[in-house]
Order: sequence, then C-alpha cells, then structure tokens
Amino acid sequence: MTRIMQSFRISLVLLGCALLSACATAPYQYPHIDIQSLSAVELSATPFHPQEEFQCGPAALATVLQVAGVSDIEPDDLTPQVYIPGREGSLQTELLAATRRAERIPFVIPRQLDALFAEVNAGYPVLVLQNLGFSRFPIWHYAVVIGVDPRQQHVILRSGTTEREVMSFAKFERSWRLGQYWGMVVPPVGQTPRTLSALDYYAAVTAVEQQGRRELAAQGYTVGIKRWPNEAIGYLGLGGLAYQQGDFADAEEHFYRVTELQPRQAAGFFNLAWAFQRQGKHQEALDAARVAAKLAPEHPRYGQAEVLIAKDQQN
Amino acid sequence: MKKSLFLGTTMLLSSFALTTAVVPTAQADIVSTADVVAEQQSGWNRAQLVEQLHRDEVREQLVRYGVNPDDAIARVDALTDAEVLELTAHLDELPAGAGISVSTTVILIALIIWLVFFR
Repeated sequence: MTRIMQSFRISLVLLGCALLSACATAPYQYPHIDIQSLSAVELSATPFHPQEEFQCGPAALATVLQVAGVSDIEPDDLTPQVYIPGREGSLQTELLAATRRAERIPFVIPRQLDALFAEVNAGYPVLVLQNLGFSRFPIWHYAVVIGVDPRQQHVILRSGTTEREVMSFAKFERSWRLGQYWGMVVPPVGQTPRTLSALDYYAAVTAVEQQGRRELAAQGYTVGIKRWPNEAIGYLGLGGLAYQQGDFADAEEHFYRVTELQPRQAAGFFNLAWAFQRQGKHQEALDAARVAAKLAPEHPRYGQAEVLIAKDQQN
Repeated sequence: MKKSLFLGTTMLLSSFALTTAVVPTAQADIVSTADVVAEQQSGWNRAQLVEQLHRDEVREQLVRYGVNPDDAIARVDALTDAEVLELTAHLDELPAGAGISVSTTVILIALIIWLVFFR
C-alpha cells in the first residue's frame, strides 16, 4: 500500500516537474524575499463576495472597490461592465476601465512579490490574476490578496467561494507568475499606492483625465504633488486642467512651476507659452516658446513652438 | 433603414477620424499631460492616433462575444486609447479571468489521474 502511494507521489512530482519546466521562465522570487523585514498582516475587514460561476472578475473588483470607499457597488452591478459571455470571463483592461467608471483610479503594481506585500502592508488589498492551471491549459482566475504571513510563508486571499484561502508562497507565486505577476490596487480617494514610480502613478491619473473625469484627475494630481513634491508632472496636470477650463492665469502659475522644476524640459515652456498667449501676453508667450524650441529643436511639436505662437498672433 | 443610417454615421465619423490622422502633429495648443507622460515612459509619441474605427471594432467584438450592445458602448468609452489598441489586436486571446467551475476541476483531476495511472 505504502509502495503504491509512494510511486503515486513520485509520479505526481515528476508530472509536476514536467509541466512546470515546460513553462519555467524567470526564477522564483519568493526564496529571495527578506522574511525578517516583513510583518504579518491580514486585512480581515475586507468584504467577501462568493463568486458565482465565471464571475470572479466582478466579485474581486467589487471587493477592492468597496475597500476604496465605493460602498454601494455589488458584483452584479459590475457584471455588465466587465463580463464577456463568449469568453466566460473578464479582461484585466476592463477591470481597470470599470474602476474608472466607479470614480476611482486603478494602479497596476510592479510585477514583484515584494511590491505586492508592500501594498497589502499599506492596507490595500491587491486584485491579482492567477493561472491555476498550466501555461498550456490556463485556468484564469481573479482573487484578492488580503494578507501575508511571513513566518508560515503564507499568502491569504479572498478567492472564488473561499472566504479565507491560505496558499504557500511557492504555490501562490506559481499561479501569479503564470498570470505574468499582474496585480492592481485601488486606493481610496486622496491616497497613493505604495510601490509605483511617480511616472507610472501619473500615467494612471492621465488615463482618468483622458476620459473627461476631471475632478478625479485633479485630485490625483494634487495627491501626487504631496507625495512627490519635486516632480513636475503633477503641476503639468493641474495646469492642463485649468487651461482646458479656460482658467489661463491659473494654468500659467502651474506651468511656471513646471519650468522651475524642470528647466531643461520643453513641455513646461511650451504649455506656459500658450497660457501666456491666451491671456494676450504676447511677448511673454514668444519668449517661452523660444525657450521650448531651443530645448527640443528636433521635436515635431516643441521645435515648432515659436512658429506656432507667432502664427496664432497673426490670426 | 436603421442599419443603413448607422452605417452612414459610422462612415462619416470614420472619415473625420481619418482626416485628423493626416493633420501634422504640431497643433496650436498645449500638449496634454498624457502625451508628456507617454513620451517619458517609452518615447511613444502619439503618431498612432486611435481612430473611431478602432473603437467600433472593439465594440463589435464585445457584442459578438455576447455583451449587450448598449453596455458595449459604455465599456468602450471607458477605455483609453492605448487600451483600445491592445484590445483591437488581442481581445480573443487575452486572459479572461473566470474562476474554477466544478466541471473544470473535475476534468483536471480526471486528466491527472489518467496521466498518472493509465499511461
């Protein structure tokens, strides 16, 4: 009996190895995690929505949105926004889009286990894409990481119909790696994710602005400036919003700040030139445009700054 | 009648979209923050203008996959240009997270047992 069991175990291990090696890419990260520096955390107040069949996208998204303060949203509200019947599932892109529709900014975190842990430690549950099958026979699944236990090397998730799923680091990383380490966080309004670079943070904010959600974008820029006071993009964003609303004096002030922080970048001077121009400050506009053109003469847009402003003044 | 009207509108709209694509990139106005960020991230300047055609294509694909047409319009509206481009090319092959139904689990276990004992 034990011999049969043993041979069964060995063949299972061999099978596992064969399947794993077929898709092995980057080395696992979990053996290199500094466990000493991690503290145990479990966001046990995170709501739980047991998914119905194929509905783990809406369920997982509702979970993180509720934590982000969208208290009245339910998985059923999200199904028509993200579920694709013909694919029997939901796409990552549409989870991001639906988050924006709920007036929150979604952030895709760096593809690192320690980034995931840092976000959970900061109080943000992370919506992750897992592949519970094999790379050749994928079983795509969304779950929400709500906790880390470094001593036991466990990750704790809200997953499917399991309210508190405990996975070993190894097992979790296998499934997450097969999902290309994709994870997103949705901080409450006024807060920033822990692990993103300023540039990646602002890229997510501009996505919101592109859709005309100006108030949300303005909050995003303002909070970003608090977090990265010496980074110019936040001011560029506020200036752009003011400009679009015809508040050119306000725009001028923000763009001026951009040129102070980034005196070698043409974008600030280019926009400053237009903010002057719209207020009828023609000489200042030409001066700023000249600097922009000088800083990036080859650029299809900035290089033409002086010409464009001069042309505008003739009209 | 309704369909031909729709088709006509689409063609009209897409002809506008095509015209804007021909206009030189230097526009007489400020540069958007999104463009600056995209440029800093990857040197990507927006030569690849997303046209209404691309958005229509994604919407039609969603409807073909069983999404309610009205929902599909709102869903495509919520996508950024870069996301539209991504979906235009890959909507049928991108991972669609679903979750494990009982049937897939059973099939998987059966497959493993078969592989282990009967081969």
